[in-house]
Order: sequence, then structure tokens, then C-alpha cells
Amino acid sequence: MKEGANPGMDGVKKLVAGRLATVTVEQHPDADVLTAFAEHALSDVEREQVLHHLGACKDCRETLHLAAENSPEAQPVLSFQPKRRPSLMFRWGAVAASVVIVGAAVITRYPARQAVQYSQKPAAPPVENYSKVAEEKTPPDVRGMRHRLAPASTPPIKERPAEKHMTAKPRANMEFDGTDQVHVAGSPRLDEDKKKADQPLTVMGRNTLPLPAASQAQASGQGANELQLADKDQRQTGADVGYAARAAKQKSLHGNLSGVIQGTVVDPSGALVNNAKVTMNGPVGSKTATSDAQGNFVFSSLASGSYSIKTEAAGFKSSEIADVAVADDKPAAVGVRLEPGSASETVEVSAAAVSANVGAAAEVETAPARAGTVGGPITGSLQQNTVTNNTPAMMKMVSIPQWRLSVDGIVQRSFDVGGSWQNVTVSKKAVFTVLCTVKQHVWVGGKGGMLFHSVDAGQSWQHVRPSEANEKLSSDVTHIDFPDPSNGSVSASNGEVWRTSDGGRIWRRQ
Amino acid sequence: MSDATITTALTPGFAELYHKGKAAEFGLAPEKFVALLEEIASRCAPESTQKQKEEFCSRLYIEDLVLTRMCAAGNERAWEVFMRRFREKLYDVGRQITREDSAGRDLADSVYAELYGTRTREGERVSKLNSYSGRGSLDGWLRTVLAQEYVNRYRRQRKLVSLDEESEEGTQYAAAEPAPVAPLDARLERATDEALRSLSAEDRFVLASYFLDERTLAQIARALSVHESTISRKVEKLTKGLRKQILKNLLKQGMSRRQAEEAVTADVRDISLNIRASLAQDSAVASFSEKGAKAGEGGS
Repeated sequence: MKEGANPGMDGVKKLVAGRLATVTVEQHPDADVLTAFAEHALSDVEREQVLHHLGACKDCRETLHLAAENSPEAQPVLSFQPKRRPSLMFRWGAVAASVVIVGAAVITRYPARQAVQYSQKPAAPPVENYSKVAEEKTPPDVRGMRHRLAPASTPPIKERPAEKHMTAKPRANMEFDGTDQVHVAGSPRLDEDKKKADQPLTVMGRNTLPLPAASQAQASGQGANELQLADKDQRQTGADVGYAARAAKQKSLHGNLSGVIQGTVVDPSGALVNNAKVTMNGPVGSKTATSDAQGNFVFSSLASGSYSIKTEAAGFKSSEIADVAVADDKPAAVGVRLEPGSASETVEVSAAAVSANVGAAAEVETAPARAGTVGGPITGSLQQNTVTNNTPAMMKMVSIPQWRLSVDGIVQRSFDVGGSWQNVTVSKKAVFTVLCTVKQHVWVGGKGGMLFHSVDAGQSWQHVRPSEANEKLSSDVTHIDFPDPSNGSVSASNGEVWRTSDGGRIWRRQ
Repeated sequence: MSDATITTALTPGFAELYHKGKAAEFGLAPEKFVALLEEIASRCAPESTQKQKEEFCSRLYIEDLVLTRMCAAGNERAWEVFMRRFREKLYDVGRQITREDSAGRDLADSVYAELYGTRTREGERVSKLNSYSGRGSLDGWLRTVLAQEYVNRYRRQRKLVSLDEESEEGTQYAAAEPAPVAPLDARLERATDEALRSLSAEDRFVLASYFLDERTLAQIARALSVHESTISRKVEKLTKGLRKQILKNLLKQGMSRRQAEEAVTADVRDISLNIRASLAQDSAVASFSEKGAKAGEGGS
């Protein structure tokens, strides 16, 4: 204790209040500087000055926290500074590897269950066709067959013969390089797979069977429907037949030009990037494709050899992957992850493609949305045979997007704390005027009662139409307020207030 | 205005910004646009070359900047856009800050009046929007302005309200009042002060927020745009480091190892409280940007 001083509790209070009052700061940063500080837009020198001030100024700390508390981007932002903290990256990498291995073990142990979950949860691409799922991409006749054979297509778990390789142990040696690409070196088990190319391959609980040459010829001549019936394996899926038929057709048309490169474009959060311009350069010249709603792109009719893949999209740095090896009849799978930034900046990475067998290609074709989704469900076969750029997500910590509306009423998001913004297509018709985010949920509203909701940080959107007893929201949405993902209200220009307490399923008008 | 006219009036870099900022849409002439960017670059990035200035300007929220300046200039179209984007948002943030509907609306209205400019200088309205430089987002700037206004109001009000009344009214201020600090051994106080002085500005900010303001790890993490676990580790590391340093300083002052250990470990709360007191006593260095020093613009 201080010599000679032993004040009671009241005295201590006064003492503390007095000492706090002695904190006098002549100059405060204005709102502009504080905002720039909060959004990491200051130079290092200025940032240091602001931090120095904040360390001593209670009022400015209070302002900063109050403003940050109420920001739409007041969602957890994960820092990623691998250069300064390499050891941390490895630590995260170890955690990520553990998660992937455990996840793979769980998923492969229960593939049938996983398949059901997947079918229930659509890939949910952006734009209005969010309900499109991978299954819908298959031809109608094949889909019809799949439904007819549905009872047989889900084998009892005890009959699954693939338990041996449904383990968490990777079948190939995966190597992570500095460019976040995954290289798969040959492994005894992978080689063994190649030798067993004619053997059934278990994919998501189904057995797929690469078609013999005779069947392929039949496929090109008579169509997939007959092929399916000709194949005695009733558990073979229509999608597998569909792919085989297409592959056979390609082969018959192009002779030696039967190489294929297919891939998926994702952003740092793992969200699929559509409308990305993908340019391929190689022995057959240059070709350009655009990624579809699932972020997928395909180059077919390629001669075997080495190719480069350049990917460009608005709001992202260009990505160039060199030396993608293409072999006849072996589709090369490429995973492209775009980093936010200016298109004039190019990220060069080493080859990321490996030859995958037909089974793996069929898997990509059947369920494209999963192929490049970081952190999404990973099937055993996909992990074994397809290399995408889904470097363990936790090795590359990314920020949860920030949101805003542009002057034109377009929804925009940023992955670099507002450094760059990319347009998010929610609805081509709507002009949005209000936006509300809470955790991963994003609500946007506009004229004519337009109201859209995303539960996955903008990867997919649903058009929400609040209604009650033949009354529905039709006036301009002027205000959206969701303190939490379940409870919220939407105000309209005619004074109506619509409330929900279950995340937007049921609405009450007030 | 045709593209050719713009191209001749602006450098390629500024022409792109002019287009990006939709300046033509609001009728902002290229010359005025350049003058605006030059002014901001000179203010925020003085002593930089032309190329550096262009690079600085390319990082600005140019669309927001043009919008605010045109609002400040009284452009009706700009105000229409501003109102459409921010009218409800201002009320939302006001309500969230005050946690009360009418007070929130009052706060937002008051800030809106400042944004619009109720005062005049030399016959022209003085709009607070003119102080927005575009370095941060307009959305964030408005939140900060509202938060500053709220803190200012509280501070003004606090001068008029007795402590008793304040306690009856309940907590108005989001930050907790600091806990009482027991007077400490002078040597321990000195040792703690010395240890704190060796910390970086960011570390002091973290400690002040955590010990003094009793902010949560999540709140501090949000303010620094890092993960909560980063702050958690930092606080733990800082506390351990401070303890070591304080012990070292006590030994330097002639205490025996045992005495120093006892002084530090007798009551851990004393140490944390002492850190609080030391942080609170520190005075800020007035080394801010020129803009920050401008009277009337500094918020808090």
C-alpha cells in the first residue's frame, strides 16, 4: 500500500474518477481517420498514431467500438498473415489436415447418409435458378431411369463392398506447395486403381462401372437409355452412363483429340464464381470458356500435352496455372481459386491438374458443385482421384464478406475489408434499396416488395414473399431489421411491417 | 459530357476514376473532380509524387466521395441517392447505438442536420459531408459520426448530471466504469508503469480496451479486424510478459526475489488494477494528422 494513504472505498472511487479525468487529449482523430483506421485504410505511420491515441483516449475507443458494433460487417473476421506468422500457418494447417482426415473418415464411413444429405441440400448456385441441383443437369431419360432404379441404387450398408478403401487414409500422396496447390504424387494405391480401371469404383455409395468399348460404341449409337438397360449392374447411376455416353461420343467424333480439362472456379471463401473467363492455351491453340452457375468450366477435344489455364473475373486477380497435363481419355481436373484484387494482377501457380480416371470425372460431372467447394462435403473418391484447389480451408484463413449496396441498387460484397467490391447477382430485375446482414444471413429488399434472403453469405439466394391471409408484401421495402437470424422485421413504404420469428418461413403482418 | 472531352481533361488514371465515381452522372466537371482529388491527396498524403497521389486516389471510395461532395454542394440527384441508401440506415444505427427508438431517431436526425448543413459560412451551407475523404467507406464513416455524436452528447450531458442521478438513470455509457483501484506500493506502481511504457501502441490499446473499458475479446478483435483468438493469445502473452517485466523492475529497485514475487502474486487483481490505473493516467501524444486537428471536425 502507498505510504500514508489508506482511503476507504469511496475514496478509491473518487481517486479513480480523478485519475481518469486527468486523461486530457487535445487532438482527436476525426470520423474520417477513425473509419479509415477501422477499415485498415491508413498508412502504417498513421495507424500507429491512431493506436497510440486510442491507447490513451477512452472516448475514441468508445466511438470506435460503438461504430464497429453496429457495422454490417460486424461478423468475425479472421486474420491471415502467413508471411509474418509462418508457424501459425503450419499450426492451422495441421488442424485443417486433421479436420479433413477426420471428415473424410466420417463421410466415407457413411456415404449413403452423406448422399442423402447432399440430395436434400441443393448446390444452391447464385441468381434465381438457385434451386437447380446437379441432378437436374442429367438428361431427362437418364433421370427417369434413376428414379425407376432408385430403390436398388441405394444398396444396404452391409452390402457395400468398399469399406476397405473407405478410410481416412489418403490414397495418394498429397503435397502442398507454396502456391496452395495440391500435387498428387503417384502412390501404390493410386496405381492399383489405374490397374483396376475396369473394376467397379465406389462413388458416394454407388458403384460406377466404366463401360467397355463395346458398350461405349453402343452408347454413341443407341443412346444412354439402352446402355443403362444393357448394363447388368443395377446400381449404376444414370449420370455415370450419361458421362460415359458423352465421352464415347466425343471419342468417336474427335479421334485422338479426346483430352478434357474440367475445373471449378471458387473465391477465397469457397463460394463458386460464375461468369469467370477461362482461357486455355496448349497444343491445340487457344480456347475460351466461361464458368457456369456452379463455377464449372470444361474444355474438350484436346490433344494430349501440356496446357496453361488463365482465369479472370471481375473483382479478382487473374490466376494462371501452367503445365496442366492432359492425357487421352483421362480428364484433367483443375481447381481455380481466385484471390480478390485487381484483374491486372496475376497470380501464377504451378500445375494443379492431374489425370483422373473416368470414375472421378463422372463424379465431377454428376456433382459439379462439390468439386471446388472449399470446406464442402468431400467424398472419398473425390479426395482420392480429383485434385482441386481446395487447399485446406483453414490453412488459408479468409474473411467473411462485407456487404453494401451500390448507387444503382446492386448488391456488392468485399472479401478484403472493403478494398475491392464485386457485384453479386441476386435478381436481374430487382433494384435493391436496403440490406441487412446477421452472421451468414443476408437480406436485401427493394421496390415492389422484392425481398431476397441468403443463408450462406451470398452463395445462394431465395426470393422471399411474405404473405398472410391472402395479403402479401407488395410495396417497396424500406427497412429490414434482423437482430438475429430467426427474428426480424421488414417494413414497407405503405406502412406495413412484416415480422418473422423463424428466419422468414412464416410472416405476420402488422 | 463525351468521353473524348473527359479524356482530354483528365489523365488516364483520373479519367478511370471519374468514370468509376460516376461523377458525370451528378454533373461534377472533370476539372472540379481533379481539384477534389488533388485536395484530398495533398491533405492525406502530403509530400507524395504525382504517381503516388494517383495511386492513393485509386484506393479511395471514389463513388462515395463523389456522392458526398455533390450532396454537400446541394445536388438534388445526389441527395436522392444518398437518402435512398442511407436514410433508414442512419435510423438503424442510431437505434442500435442508443438502444432506444426515439433516442436513436433523435440522434440520427441531429447527425442528418449536420450532414445537410444547417450553418452557413460566407453564404454557403457548411455540410459535414465535406469532411469525408473517401479513405474509409461512407457507410462506416456515417456509423462513426453517429457514434462520435453519441459520445459527445454523453460527455456534455455528464457534465450536467450528478453522479447520483446518473446511477439512478442506469448505465448510459456502453463502457463499464472502471473498478476501484487500491493504492499500491509506490515501487510496484513504478515498476508497472515502466513495464507498460515498453509496450507497443497496439498492445496498449488492447490492454486499455480489455482492462480499462472491460471490452470483450470479440469487440477488441472486431476493432482490429483480427480473430478473437488472436486477441485472447495477445492478452495472455502480454499479461505474462508484464508480470515478468514488473518482477524484473522490482528486483532492480532493490526488492528481493521473494518480496517481488509476494508483491506481484499477493493479489493478482492488484496487478490488473494497477495496469488499469497506469493506462488511465497516460496522456495521449498530440501527434495527429493535420486534419485531425481541425477544430470542429474532431468528434470526440
